[in-house]
Amino acid sequence: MESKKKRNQILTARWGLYTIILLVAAALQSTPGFLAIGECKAYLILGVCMAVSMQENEFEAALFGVIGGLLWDYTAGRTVGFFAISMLFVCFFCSVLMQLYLKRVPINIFFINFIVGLLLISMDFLFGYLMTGYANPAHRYLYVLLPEIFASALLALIPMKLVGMVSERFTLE
Amino acid sequence: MRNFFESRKFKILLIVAVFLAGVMAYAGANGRLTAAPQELVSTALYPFQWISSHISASVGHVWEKYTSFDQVQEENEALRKDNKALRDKLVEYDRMEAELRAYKKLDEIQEQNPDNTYASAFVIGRDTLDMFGGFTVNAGSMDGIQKGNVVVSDEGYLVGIVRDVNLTSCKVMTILHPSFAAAAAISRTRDNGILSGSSSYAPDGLCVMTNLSRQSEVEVEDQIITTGLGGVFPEDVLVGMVQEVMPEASGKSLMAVVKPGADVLSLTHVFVITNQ
Repeated sequence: MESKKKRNQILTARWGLYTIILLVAAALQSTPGFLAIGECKAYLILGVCMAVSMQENEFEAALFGVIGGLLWDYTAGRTVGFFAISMLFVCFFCSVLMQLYLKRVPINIFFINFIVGLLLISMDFLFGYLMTGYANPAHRYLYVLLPEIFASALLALIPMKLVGMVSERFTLE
Repeated sequence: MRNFFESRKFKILLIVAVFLAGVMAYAGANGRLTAAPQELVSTALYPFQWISSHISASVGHVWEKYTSFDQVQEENEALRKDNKALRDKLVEYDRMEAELRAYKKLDEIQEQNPDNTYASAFVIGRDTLDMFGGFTVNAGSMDGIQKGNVVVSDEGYLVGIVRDVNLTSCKVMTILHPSFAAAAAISRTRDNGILSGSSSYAPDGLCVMTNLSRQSEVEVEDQIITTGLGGVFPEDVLVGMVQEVMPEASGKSLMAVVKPGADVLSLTHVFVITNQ
């Protein structure tokens, strides 16, 4: 049985590293031109939050999702709370899904990230683009957003690996 | 799971969700929140953004290089085509400029010898194994050139004789070649002799005039011209000047070492006298 102090150290290190990964992802996501192909750019924050929610319990996952969502709101210049609330729910359900029904294998990780990305980005597109009345919505959705979602789901395997390593290294016995 | 929805954690999440909804409603209604939360987030993000922007600056170049490869390749091909067209034009201009210069000189030569007709020709090949400076020019039988025609430099100095003729080119045997022979005379004294090449003097770009009379008053720097004797060479074509005079081995005549007026070993353009 570990002492309370050691347990706190392990938890602090683990969540500290999760947070650093999240901040790095947010910084990379908001860096102009980084890993961009034409207009398309991957959403790295989503991948990190999903990776953490697949490793942790639903409560911690949901709170981490809120932090990630707030960062996303800030970096994307959206109304504060939009992505935060969305991420709270998706991280919660993702964590539950992984604990009860699914295995952490690459194909599952990819599909969960793709479906969640599709859901969030479609919502954002609906409120932030379609309802605002900008031009060529179909073109933007099909040729910019869908490739972005696909790329984000693919790249989500990287944070999954990183988060998995952190979780494995700083695990409670 | 049923227990979770009754737990304190669930209530906390619910409060957080409600709080966020309130924040969102407020932010939506007022345009934005107070600056404090945004400053907090931006402060937390700043070091990571600073690092990533620096990494991005270097990585971005590499990334862009590969993502815009097709565009760069197309541009490259277009520029290559433009470059080739410009180079072709430049070569054409150079050729025209050289020809213009040559024709100006031809004008001067023709004033001195109005009866002769000339064909302009550029040296297009030199046989490195030919130690007597033989070369090929880009004019042939289509330009009216025949075997045995006399070749002169831009300044009108004797260079050699046409040895072989093709449709568009011909080979020239120079005055440095030992097989070359032309009747020549010292311009000042009118002493006759035979102008020929010599394997001893050819490497220095010199030729010799043999069979000069022992009584000849030939001197260094005397000018040599052709006499037209025998009908092969037109008369009064400039050859060069005497560099050295010495008795021949037989002792019966003198020999003059001649420095041709044309630099036979490095000529780039000549005229062929075609009306012989």
